[in-house]
Amino acid sequence: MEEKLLTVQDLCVSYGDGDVLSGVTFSMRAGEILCIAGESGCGKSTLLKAILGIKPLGAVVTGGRITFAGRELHAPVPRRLLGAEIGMIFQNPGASFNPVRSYEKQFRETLRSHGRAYDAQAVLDCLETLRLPDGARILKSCPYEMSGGMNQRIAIALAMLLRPRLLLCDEATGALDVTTQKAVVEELLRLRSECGTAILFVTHNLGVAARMADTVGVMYAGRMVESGDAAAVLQSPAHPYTQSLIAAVPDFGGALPKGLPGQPPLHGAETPGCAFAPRCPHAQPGCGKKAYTMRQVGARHFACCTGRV
Amino acid sequence: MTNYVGKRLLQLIPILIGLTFLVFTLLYIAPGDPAQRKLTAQGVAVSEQVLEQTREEMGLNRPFLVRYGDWLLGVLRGDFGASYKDGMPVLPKLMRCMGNTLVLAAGSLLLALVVSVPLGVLTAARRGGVIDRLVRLLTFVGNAMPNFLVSVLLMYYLCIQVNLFPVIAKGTVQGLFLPALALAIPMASRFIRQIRAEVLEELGKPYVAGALARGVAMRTVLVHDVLRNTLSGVLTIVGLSVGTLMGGSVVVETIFRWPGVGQLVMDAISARDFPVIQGFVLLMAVIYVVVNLLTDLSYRALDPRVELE
Repeated sequence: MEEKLLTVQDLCVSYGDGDVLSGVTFSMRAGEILCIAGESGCGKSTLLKAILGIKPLGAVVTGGRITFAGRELHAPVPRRLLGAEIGMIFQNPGASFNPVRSYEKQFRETLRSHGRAYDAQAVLDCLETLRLPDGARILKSCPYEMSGGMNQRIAIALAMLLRPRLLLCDEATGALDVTTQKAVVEELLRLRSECGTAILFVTHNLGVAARMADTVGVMYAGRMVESGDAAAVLQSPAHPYTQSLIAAVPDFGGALPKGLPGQPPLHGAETPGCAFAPRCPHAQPGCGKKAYTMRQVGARHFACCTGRV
Repeated sequence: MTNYVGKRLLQLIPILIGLTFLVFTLLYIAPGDPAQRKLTAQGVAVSEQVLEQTREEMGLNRPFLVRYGDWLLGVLRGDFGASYKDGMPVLPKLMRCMGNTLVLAAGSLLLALVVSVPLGVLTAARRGGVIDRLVRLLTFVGNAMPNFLVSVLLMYYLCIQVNLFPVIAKGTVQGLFLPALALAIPMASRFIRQIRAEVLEELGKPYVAGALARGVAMRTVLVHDVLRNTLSGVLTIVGLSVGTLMGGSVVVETIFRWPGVGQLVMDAISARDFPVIQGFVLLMAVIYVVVNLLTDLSYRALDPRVELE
């Protein structure tokens, strides 16, 4: 069997009252790009916070296991792994820097924390590839002086400079215009091909997922409802939720997409059965009671429901 | 910046004029006949005729505003009048003692800061721990104790029971420690609580999680980012404490016989030596206003985001 870089087994995560993630299972190979899609509040970001295991983020693992490169991870994750082995790009990456301290100082501090030398040329080159040509001036500036999009790219640059084996991205292209989004996606792909970095990319942008992903996972109410090869999941989605998510992507035809009626539950699944049942067009009376299990629906394609009973 | 400083200095002028008016009026309406006080202080037998003559000499029979204007013009020339007690000019008299008071104030401020900055950061970083709870209990007690009580307790235990320090300070270096400590204990108690609260607020900001996620050590984040970003808050409470410190020094100097302005003014108050009291109050008010201005200006120096208008 192929060596897994990251294995997440039956993961349950809580912020103090009730599990936000319940029984999430997946694994990633080295160099694999896994995109996790789902509505806001489905637990995508929580998953990344749980892997990082940093106290201020508040996510506490209440069950299950996370294994990275053959070793089980527990909070607090050893400092030498963070950044250097497991990188993170936050949803608002600009905010992950001290707003009143120059970028150069913060870059130096991060590199020094991992015993790496600060190579000014390498930093400038990295910024350049992310469409930030004025690197020297940027490094002298503080985050509060920069636009959101610039801060985002600078944060991505630093995460890349450390060349981690696994990069966690939380909506890393959210605040960027389309051209820059494309540049960032290309750089992430290049990082993967050059350094073999695996990327766990959380997004609600299915277009980005289609462009980048080797595999796709779809989450709903704290559970993985469908996962598999990107082509299989995105082109022949099995789960009714994935189907409606893909139907909700706007196209250029001018017609507004069909939205999904109702709201997702605020917390993780509270019933043993399907949490999507109340919004599901194919729901049957027994759906809320049947136990949650993932079933194989195709070659390397799994779903907990196919809409046919 | 220069423009801003100039503007702020100009704004000081009406404030200072208002101050002189208040100081003069308060003592004008205070009970007691200055002429009688002056004669009593000099040990002259008082007859109605002498009293009337002295009133005339002192200009007490002139209208209020004329007397105020006269006094104000004197103050502007550096002439604060003469003490009733010994006829000495007030300003040199105050200035001679001012040095001692400044030494005491600086000493106690230094003592308070040396203790409270590390303890404030430590209690915040170890929130809810044993050290945190112990320190918070102590600061609660320290905060509740007035200066005179602290002074008397220190004097009883350290001068009389253990005989470590002289009871009468006299202006020696050895004598400085106890009055400085008496002023520092309540002040440090307030500082620790304030710094703890500021550090806790700062620790909740996303850049702390960001730095930890990059693998920067908590200790480094505390010293380089958190402490640096709370400095302006620390300076604010130091600036605000100057008023308390000046008031407190009057009490503490009297108890320990520290030859500063506080002791001088206590003697002046018991002798109803109005010119000395006026000079003291005015001097303290000016110090207070100037320190507040310096605090305001320091915000800009510490945080580049603060805009000057």
